[in-house]
Amino acid sequence: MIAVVDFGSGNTRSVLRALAAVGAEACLVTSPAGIRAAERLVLPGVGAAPSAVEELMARGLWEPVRRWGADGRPLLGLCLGAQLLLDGSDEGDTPGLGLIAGRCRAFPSVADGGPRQVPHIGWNEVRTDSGAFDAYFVHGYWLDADPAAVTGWTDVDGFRFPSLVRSGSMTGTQFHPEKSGPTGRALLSAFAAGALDARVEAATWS
Amino acid sequence: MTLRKRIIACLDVTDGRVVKGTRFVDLVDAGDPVELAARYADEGADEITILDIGATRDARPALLDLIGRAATALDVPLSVGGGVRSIADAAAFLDAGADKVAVNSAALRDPTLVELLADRLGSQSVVVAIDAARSAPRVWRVRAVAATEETGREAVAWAREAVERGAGELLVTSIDRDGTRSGYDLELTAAIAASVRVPVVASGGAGSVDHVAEVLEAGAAAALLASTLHFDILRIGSLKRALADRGLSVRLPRPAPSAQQVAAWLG
Repeated sequence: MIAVVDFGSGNTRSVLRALAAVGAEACLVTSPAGIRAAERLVLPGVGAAPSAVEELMARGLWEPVRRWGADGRPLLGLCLGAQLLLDGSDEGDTPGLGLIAGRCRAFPSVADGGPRQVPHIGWNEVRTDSGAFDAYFVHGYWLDADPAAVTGWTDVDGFRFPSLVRSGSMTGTQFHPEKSGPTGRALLSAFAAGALDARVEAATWS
Repeated sequence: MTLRKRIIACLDVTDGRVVKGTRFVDLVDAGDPVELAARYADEGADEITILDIGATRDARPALLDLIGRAATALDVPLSVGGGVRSIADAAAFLDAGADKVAVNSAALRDPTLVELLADRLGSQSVVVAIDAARSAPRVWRVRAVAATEETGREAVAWAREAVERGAGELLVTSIDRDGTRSGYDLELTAAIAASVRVPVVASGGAGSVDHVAEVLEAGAAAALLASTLHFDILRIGSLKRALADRGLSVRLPRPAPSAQQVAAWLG
């Protein structure tokens, strides 16, 4: 069972719908016990970081989600959910879960090489070491993550930012897979099937 | 690289059916909204817009049901407009599954509605729809209530004001070109796109690949098509390939990648 963490975020239901569309069994979780009972966890999110953190803490979900990630269990953070994986955010100087090194930052102004339109909304390309794909973005802050954790980058008006972060069985997407057409659905399906989980190294055999 | 130019398929809906007219009148039936929305998304539409042109209060529950069914069938963003008069109306659309809400006549009556919507829902979810008719060279007048009511407002000035008040996107329809397939009003689109820093969606007049290419080159972030798609004059897949051939940055329709491919991308 995939548990989608419910902290009142706007895209929770579209994430559930998209998971159902790829045949994954998913439900909303609103309690620490619900999180403990899950096999995989999705942290969705749209909107502002401060109210998301406040809501997660108020519902007692902050520490269970953090522990889940720290234990290396399969976790998928979407948009704001991906931003929460970092150490913190400049948006309201909010703390993060500290699961991936880095900080969320506001886009710089046009004069400082930032995008012409903020928030960054629409379809853009995600470039990875093994090819590129298009995805749908809606965000005003970007993932200034440890480059060691970054596996995909996106460019807007010459400003390049991380759009995919990975660490063990944890994945964060700055884009919205639930709105990113067949590619986004395939990403959710791959997560549901365990294709994005960290593999046990061959060396552990001996 | 930067943001892709978007192709948006628009469904004008009344009484649960897609209809399309010319210059906002002479409506003919064009099919089932959920079926059409899913087909256009499969063909590569970057977004679907549903406009309830009947927009009567009695039909509201049926519209919310339609939004939910469309959202379930879609894997791309959904915008919905028609009869939005309050935050409650807009929030109901979002709760039903819309990603963006378009507001038109009510914002003209009370422009502070745009601020309230942006404050409550976030600018990224608030589209201000502007229906404009040319009244003199390079002057366009805004009309309300399905283009039946003069407002006295000039289109570029209203566009600027709407953005200042928090609109995250503008949907600009040329009343003169609506349903005519004679090309978008390029001057109108360019004038508004040059005046604001949010995406401008051009609407009204699509009839050929050239029309779509020209309006995207004129500054539109997205081109909206309705009857040209409903009546099979253009297909989204071939349209996007032709736009890419002209050097426009568009998202080309691709089949779903395999789990192995996704895992390789994600690293």
